[in-house]
Amino acid sequence: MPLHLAESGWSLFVLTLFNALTEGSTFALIAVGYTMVYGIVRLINFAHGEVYMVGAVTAWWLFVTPQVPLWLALLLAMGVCAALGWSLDRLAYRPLRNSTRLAALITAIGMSLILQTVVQLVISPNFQSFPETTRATVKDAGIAARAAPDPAAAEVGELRIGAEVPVWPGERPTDGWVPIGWTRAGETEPALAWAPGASLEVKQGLPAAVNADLLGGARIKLPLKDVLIWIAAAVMMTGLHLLVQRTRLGKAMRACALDRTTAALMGIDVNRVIAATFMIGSAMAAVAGVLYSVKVGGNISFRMGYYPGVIAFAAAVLGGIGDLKGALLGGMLLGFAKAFFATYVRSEYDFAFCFSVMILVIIFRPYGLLGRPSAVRA
Amino acid sequence: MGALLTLDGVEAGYGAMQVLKGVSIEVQEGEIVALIGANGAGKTTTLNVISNVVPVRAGRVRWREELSSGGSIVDTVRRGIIHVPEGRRLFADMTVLENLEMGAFLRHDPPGVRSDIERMFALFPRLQERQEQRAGSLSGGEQQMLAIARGLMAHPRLLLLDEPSLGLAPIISQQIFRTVRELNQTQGVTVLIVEQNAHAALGLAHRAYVMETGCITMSGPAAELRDDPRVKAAYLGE
Ligand SMILES: Nc1ncnc2c1ncn2[C@@H]1O[C@H](COP(=O)(O)OP(=O)(O)OP(=O)(O)O)[C@@H](O)[C@H]1O
Ligand SMILES: [Mg+2]
Repeated sequence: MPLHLAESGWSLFVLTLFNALTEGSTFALIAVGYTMVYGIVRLINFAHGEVYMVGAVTAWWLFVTPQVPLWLALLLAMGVCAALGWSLDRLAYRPLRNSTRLAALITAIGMSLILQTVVQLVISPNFQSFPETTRATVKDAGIAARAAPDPAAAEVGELRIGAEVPVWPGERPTDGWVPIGWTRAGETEPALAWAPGASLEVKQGLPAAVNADLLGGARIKLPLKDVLIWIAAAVMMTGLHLLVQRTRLGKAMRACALDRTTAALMGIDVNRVIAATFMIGSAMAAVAGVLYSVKVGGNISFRMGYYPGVIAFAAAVLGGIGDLKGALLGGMLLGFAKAFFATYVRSEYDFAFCFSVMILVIIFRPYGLLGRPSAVRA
Repeated sequence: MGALLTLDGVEAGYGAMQVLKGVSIEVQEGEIVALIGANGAGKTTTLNVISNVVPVRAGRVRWREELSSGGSIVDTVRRGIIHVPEGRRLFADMTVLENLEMGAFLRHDPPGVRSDIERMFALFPRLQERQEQRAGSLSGGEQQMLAIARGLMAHPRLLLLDEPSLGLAPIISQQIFRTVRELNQTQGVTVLIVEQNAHAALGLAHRAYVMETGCITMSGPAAELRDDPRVKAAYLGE
């Protein structure tokens, strides 16, 4: 149900605010990748939205197929995207490092199309989502649901072959018995029952903890899924800031952003620094892709990277491309613009509104909110 | 014994333009060698070829008899060839301290790096006072001190200095030349220096090369070149 039909007044405002923070955190996590790469290589990596998409798709596939836990799917998706970022740089951009910007730009768009096509072929063009709840399919005929995890316990009903039953959240399987939700004859609500695990094929869904609300008021809810995105953005942006300010790699990245030739004269292997930059930005995009897909549901497809990618690019430009704080500021600003416009004006035109905001800012501040006119370059 | 650095018929340029037209230079270990010449002669290009910033088109650069042209910039840094580029090229948005740390990027002895930073501060006390300041906010003289100090942080075996006195007050440039001589005498750092101020350069160097439009036209002990009438007329304004 769209927000503006369900809520009004104060609670509507608060819900929009939560949405804005979630969208803003997502855009910021993606925008960082654009801005870091641009800062060092002066290249807009237009395939970055696709890295976000590959992150979400990888985690989704790992979650539903080998059924790894969500946290592991997230970590592996970060790893896959880091490797993808590295490969994009190594195969597509590094060979063009000294050619025209147009060549690199066209290559970026080409990579973007290749990634979309490959994902479409691999997972089908349909929209997918992380299953909300864990469910089990009955594999054998003549199986009974029982009142307790014990073959001698009272039978509460017969499980038809091929039927799908919800796995009861909050109970763990014991002795090969799986807790299921079973609606007993004459009841309307399902209650806990047990079925033999050997006859079920269990498909994991999001853990109950992830589906929970942090605040569960009648009118204002704060789903944990939103808070996870906020925490991820806060932790990763802070971590990145510390990395860039304090560590050897971070200082090398700043040096390369300021003057690549001189950085090399210090002994810095510029190509390695650029590769690391691609990897870090890609891993952050993966986090955004996974957590945002967990939150919204039903958005996972080869196409999902396009809008977030373009908006995050606008966010990076708006904040001042090349500037990490600018990516955060720009991402948040567009997250707020999108969410509030969608709630209070027209939800169909929220992306158009984001672009109008960016264009307006760029007219008055061509280098973005935090950008400076002369990046120190020789 | 072979030379520390040898340029052998080096040709280099940019795009269609040929800048170096067969340059041969030798630098022995422990020497200070000056390279002087008019604007646009190709002095900076020569240093850029030595540090692999600009590739050679013909000829070769050898380091201790081993081929070094054709490699990467970082390879030359690993060998101890430290290039303090023309125009200082500091990391303007990084602090003075961070610039010094970048100079020591390839070193993995933090205590040694820290004590070297203290040595740089002893050498250039103004840098110590400004260690947390952005390098871009330093005065021209302070920036030049920082550029040299940053180069020294790498423990150079060969220091390439490109116009270290450019735009500096005479007192400050004298201080910089004095520092270079001390480094050479006390620490045995070999120096190849490019200087507009030919008088100072010939006073400092053991030997010198004169470059005109991409060719070496004269070379010899600095004291002799200083008395050469052609050099006097062209570069010493006498
Ligand atoms: N990056 C470049 N691209 C194209 N041409 C260049 C480049 N750098 C130098 N040149 C040209 O090469 C020639 C030699 O330049 P170089 O900088 O080596 O001279 P220089 O002797 O150091 O001069 P100066 O005393 O003015 O510093 C000049 O004509 C210059 O215009
Ligand atoms: Mg020059």
